[in-house]
Amino acid sequence: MFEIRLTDSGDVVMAGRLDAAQCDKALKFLDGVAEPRVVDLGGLEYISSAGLGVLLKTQKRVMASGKGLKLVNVNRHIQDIFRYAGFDRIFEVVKAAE
Amino acid sequence: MDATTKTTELRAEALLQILGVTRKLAAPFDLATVLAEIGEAARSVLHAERATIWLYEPEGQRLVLTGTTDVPPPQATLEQGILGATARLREVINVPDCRVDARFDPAVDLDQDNDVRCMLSVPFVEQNTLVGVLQVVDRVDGPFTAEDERIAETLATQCVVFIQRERMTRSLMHADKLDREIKLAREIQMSTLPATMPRVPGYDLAGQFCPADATGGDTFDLVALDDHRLFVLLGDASGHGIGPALSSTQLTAMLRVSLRLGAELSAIFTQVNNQLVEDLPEEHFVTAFLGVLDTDGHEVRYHAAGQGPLLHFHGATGECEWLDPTTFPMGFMKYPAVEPPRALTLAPGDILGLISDGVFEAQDSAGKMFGPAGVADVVRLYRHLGMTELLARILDAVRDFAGTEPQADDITIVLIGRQGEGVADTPVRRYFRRSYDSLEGIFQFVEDFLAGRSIDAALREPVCFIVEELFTNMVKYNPEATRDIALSMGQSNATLTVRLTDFDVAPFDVTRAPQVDVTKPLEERAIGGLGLHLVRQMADTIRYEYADGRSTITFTKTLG
Repeated sequence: MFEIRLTDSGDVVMAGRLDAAQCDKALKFLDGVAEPRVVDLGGLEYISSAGLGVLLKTQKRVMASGKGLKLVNVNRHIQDIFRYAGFDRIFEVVKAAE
Repeated sequence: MDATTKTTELRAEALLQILGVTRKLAAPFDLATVLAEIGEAARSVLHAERATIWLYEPEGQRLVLTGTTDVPPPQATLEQGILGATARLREVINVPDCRVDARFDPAVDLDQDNDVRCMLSVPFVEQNTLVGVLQVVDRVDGPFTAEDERIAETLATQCVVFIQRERMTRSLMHADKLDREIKLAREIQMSTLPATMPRVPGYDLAGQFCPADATGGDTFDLVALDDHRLFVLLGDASGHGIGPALSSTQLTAMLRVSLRLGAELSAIFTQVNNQLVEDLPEEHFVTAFLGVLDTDGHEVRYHAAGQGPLLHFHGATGECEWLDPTTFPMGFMKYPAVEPPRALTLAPGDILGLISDGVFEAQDSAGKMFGPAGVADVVRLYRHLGMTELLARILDAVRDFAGTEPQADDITIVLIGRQGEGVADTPVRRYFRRSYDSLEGIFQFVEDFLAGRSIDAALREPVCFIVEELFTNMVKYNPEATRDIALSMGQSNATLTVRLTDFDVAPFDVTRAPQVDVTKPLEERAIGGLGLHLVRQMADTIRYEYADGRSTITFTKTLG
């Protein structure tokens, strides 16, 4: 299961498993948000490389207007992946509270 | 009305009626109804008083009257009357006056009231085979004409088509019923096979039964008798069809009951053999391997009744030793008692292979057999992959060898591998459709495997990540491929081994995909290519192999 939604304050919330089969849904949703800023990954258990591609694409779009995505509540496992992928250099990543 | 007009009228009328009959032939009427219809059409279109149809029965070389309520229906030989002559000569016989024709026989030639005048007798012939005879008698306005002969022949042709179709349908329905019965027998046979391999510490077990098209008589069984003894059976009942399937099913059932009663191997062998002698039809027998593996001394005691050669692979030397059967097939003859069982010892890394003759006797297009040598080649090459994988490789090799030759016989293989140092236990393998929709099932498979072996759940997401990446790559970059992708997982000591196999594809070595510089700024970062880079980071080892159109990627994770 993968869920993506907007909170009242305009944060994007992702939960569940973002695998290759769910990427279209995620990208379509993010493309529909004019200026996403905070992406809360607290409920995200799993992200595949295709999911990383979605974040990267969105970041490129958003950065064009000078701002960037802030990935918050990132769990340990996804932090590792972000590090391997060099995402810690191109995103603002905030770890989940341990 | 001149003669020409009359002929035209008759033709039109006849044609209409013949067409009417043809229409009926297309409808799903039963044979009796349609024959009655054709008879009536013939009578009416030829302006005759009576018409009858006789069907030919080749077995009894006789003609049987249709459309009668008499039981049994009247019959005629080919010697009787104008009817018999028509059948014999396979020619239309037009008799203007029956009373002066020597061939006329009132008993068969429609002479109900002893007043038959003229007769038209037409054979039904299909590809030189006699099917029946149509007889029409007593035309209202004098003898039958040449025109009438043609009309009758046309009707007869229609009739033949229908009769043949009806007979074919009936034989197909019969075959279909037989098919269903064979399927049922097959299901029963399959249901007696072990659903899962028993877990035997220190051993890696695999067994598989690949039926040929029709039901054959192979079977196998693996039953843990207690915490250190495993019963092993491989049976092959002679012949094909439902009989052998039931024989092998019966064998399995008898053995299980005997084992449950705690009987000793040789006693079981003798009694089941003697029972089979009584039960099996003459000329039928079952070749069988019955053995008990005792993991305390790593000894297998066995009877190989006509079953062989048995494979004993020696892990230490890499040598394949082939063992002969110990006695005659079961069900062949009764024994008061059997010789004591033979024994062999499995050293670390050894494999006992029970292989039905469907493997050895598989033939290539030139008629060459796969033989023990074919098996030995595969075993030496792939024995390190674990028994499930090895078994799959043997089956692949047999299929490759046979090429387009159909599988003539059931194929059954049971492999019992004693683990050497660091040899993997039984890996679990499953096939997944080439679709992203398979990912959910893949994740579940990974999760079940890890949970089933109490492996740290923290490994789950990294393993899923790697598997997903490799799987989606196979799906994306081999769009022409159609076969399911195999995913197998195994664990040994402190290593988790995961393998994905993609069939009928071009080589693509994931380990050689270009490196990604993850330190580059965003604008220089590509969206793709990241996955394989991450896979190489996350896996402890990763290996790519390509052979026979098959891409195999194996990666390991060290367990903490």
